[in-house]
Amino acid sequence: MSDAKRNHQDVDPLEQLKSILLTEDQSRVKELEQKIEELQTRLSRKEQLIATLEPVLGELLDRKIKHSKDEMAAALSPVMGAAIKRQIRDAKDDVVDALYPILGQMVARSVAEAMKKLVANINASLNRTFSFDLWKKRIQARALGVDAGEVILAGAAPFELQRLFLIAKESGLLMAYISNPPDQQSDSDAQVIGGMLTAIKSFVESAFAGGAKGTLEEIQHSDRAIRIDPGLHTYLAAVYAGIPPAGFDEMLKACHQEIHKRFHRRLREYQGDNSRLRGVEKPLHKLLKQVLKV
Amino acid sequence: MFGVGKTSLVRRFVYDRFEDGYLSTIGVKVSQKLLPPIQTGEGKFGQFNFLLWDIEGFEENSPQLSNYLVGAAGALVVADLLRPETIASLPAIINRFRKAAPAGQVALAGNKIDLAKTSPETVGELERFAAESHLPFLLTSAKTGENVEKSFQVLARQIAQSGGR
Repeated sequence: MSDAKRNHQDVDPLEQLKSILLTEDQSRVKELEQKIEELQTRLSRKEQLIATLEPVLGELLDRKIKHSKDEMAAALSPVMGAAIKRQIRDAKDDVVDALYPILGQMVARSVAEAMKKLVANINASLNRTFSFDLWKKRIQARALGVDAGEVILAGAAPFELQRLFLIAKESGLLMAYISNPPDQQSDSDAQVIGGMLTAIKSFVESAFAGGAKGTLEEIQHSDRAIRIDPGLHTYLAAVYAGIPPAGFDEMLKACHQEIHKRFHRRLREYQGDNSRLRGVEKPLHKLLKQVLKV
Repeated sequence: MFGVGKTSLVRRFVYDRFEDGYLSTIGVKVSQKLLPPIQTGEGKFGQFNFLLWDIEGFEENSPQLSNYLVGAAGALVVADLLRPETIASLPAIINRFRKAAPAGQVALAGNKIDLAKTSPETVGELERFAAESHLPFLLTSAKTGENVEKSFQVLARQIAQSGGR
């Protein structure tokens, strides 16, 4: 048998047929395999994945926000707080620059709101022009020697006498303390506050006196204030909120004078023993009741 | 005097309510401590409730310092055992206190004994000064707590024996 004939017999006819029929398909499969491999590489390599997604990312987010705002808000909200905090920490100046123009507006709006409420309260009072209440206020105003508007204004921003401290002038020791309503403030707290108040008072009086002898009469913080009535051996500090009624200073002074009148010797000889001042709270409670009535 | 450890000494000991920032702003911070009853003399016992004014270092002529000292029942004057110059300035400070609070009692504390055990000269110097001026003294450490409460007890006893608060 010749070689050519033997070769011819070796080639499987079925394979030959397959090759004739499927060559085109095979090359397509190869091509597809290559494409899949290329896609896999794109997805698995970070840089390439970013390069692929970048051109559409903005549009994608835009579309997502347009179509499902709530869903996006729910997904992003847990990280917003942390992101803002971080931004403030890393770029404080930028944040301040960005917020500055709107802060003024916010404050103005908040003040306007508070004023609106106050005006509404005053209007509500004025609307009852012929009511018994207003007549009562007018009589009250006349008795106190002030304008009826002042009484109405005081009613719109209610006055609250919250604490009274009777403090030894030199040592800063706390002689008596009452609060309204009775609070959980520990004895230690009140004593330390009394001491610190004395220190602050002493500091202000010596640092800003400029040679003149004077006393610190009021400390104000937000809607609260401390009114201080100086006495011979003690000072009486009243912590309050709101606008004090007319005559409040006189009431405070009268209460303090009563204490001095009744306890003057024991106040002068005071060495820190509060048991010798039994009953000193009575005039303080009386003052509280008197203020509540007004 | 600056940096002798007064604030640490007080912090070891007291009921605190305010930030130490007050010390650098108005120069004083008030805190409070109720001592357990102590023997103040033969058969005598007493309980002391201290209102402590921790006073920051001042210029010698500052009027503020005197204002803070007025009315005090006693002073625990603290020196830094690592800095002999703080012992040298004790007489001026004590004079200042006595002028502002004539009835006030004085006790001394040599602080930072935990670090100063290796320098007996400064300890000796404080001992000599205390003996000459007839003042009680203790070696304290705010760091370890050594003798902190005891030094306030010593001052309390001084006050009780003088017939003060």
